[in-house]
Amino acid sequence: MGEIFGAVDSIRAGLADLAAQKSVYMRVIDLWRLAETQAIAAALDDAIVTVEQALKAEPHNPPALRLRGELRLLRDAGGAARFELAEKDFRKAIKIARTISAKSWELRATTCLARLLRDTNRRAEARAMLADIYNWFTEGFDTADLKDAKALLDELTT
Amino acid sequence: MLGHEAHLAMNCDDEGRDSRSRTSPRYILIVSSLPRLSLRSLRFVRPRLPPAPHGTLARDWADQMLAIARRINSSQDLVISHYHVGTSCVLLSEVAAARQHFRQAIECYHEEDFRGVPENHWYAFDTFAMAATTEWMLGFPEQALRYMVAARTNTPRLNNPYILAVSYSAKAIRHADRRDCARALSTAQEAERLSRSWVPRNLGHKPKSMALGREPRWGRFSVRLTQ
Repeated sequence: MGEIFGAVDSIRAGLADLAAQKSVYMRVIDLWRLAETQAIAAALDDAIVTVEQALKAEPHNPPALRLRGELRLLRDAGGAARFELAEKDFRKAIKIARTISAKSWELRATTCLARLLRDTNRRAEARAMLADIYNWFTEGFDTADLKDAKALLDELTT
Repeated sequence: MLGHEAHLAMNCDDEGRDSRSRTSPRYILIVSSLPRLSLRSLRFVRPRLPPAPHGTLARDWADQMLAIARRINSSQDLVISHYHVGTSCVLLSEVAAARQHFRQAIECYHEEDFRGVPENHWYAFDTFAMAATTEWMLGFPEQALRYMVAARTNTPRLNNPYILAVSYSAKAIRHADRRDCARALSTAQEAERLSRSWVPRNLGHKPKSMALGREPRWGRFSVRLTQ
């Protein structure tokens, strides 16, 4: 776990460097990577704050939206409303990813949404939307994203 | 900058007033070098433009660079101009258009144009790295990996330790995006080793954290966040 805390500190230091140089380039990407790393280090509250910062700088960033949705699901707070908010984030991430043809981001967000739909008894919708994006791909079937999508699709089909 | 270059030419014309004819060799030399001088000026300014809210301006300038590069028909300048149009497109979220420009840049790329010119080393690496990024985003992970391998194999021949370290970092991030943890981690450690004392601190740490975070040992956080 120490390595992860070290990584959090390093990304934070990198962001401070960028801020000192008044550079905004890469800042949003670094912010959501920091949020992801904080979450892995079990600092979920910090991760939420960081991902909100990323979304404040760039409200239509699909990976940041997807991550915020995931963080909402990971946190116990928020009750049933957190499912609705997470779904909203995933759907927005998918919509924006489609607009810019970012299929990799669309696949990840769709996999997250499909899992949420499965858990809330909407398997048919989950299967249809996941099959759509999965069948679009023509290469990379040994990558983890596509393997996960395929495994979930198989599960939803049976 | 363009105005400055035009002023330069006018001065020269004034200097050679007794042979002010537009056929004078000096006049022709200066005027013919204007596009290249303008291109260099644009190259100096364009990468320093912040992405927002000046994305459109960045794109306009990059388009001007490309028009000049086409006019002087230099493969090196075409690579650099296509690269800048491509990165401007990325900033404007026009990923498919960016992909076309990176591909065209790679088509024009000749290693010998870049090897001996340190100011151009970044382009020799990042044209391929950005091509990899856009291919990955657009849903072509294998093509992305091929470009990333090309970026990594080009860089040692440039003999530029900074670019070499960055290339390891970028390749590690690409492996981490594919969630190939073992490769991401070993590549990130190499980036870390190469950059320990003299480049931004997160050059090796960032991909390392991504690689570590994607390992199954971090339990539910890792599994959920990377799926």
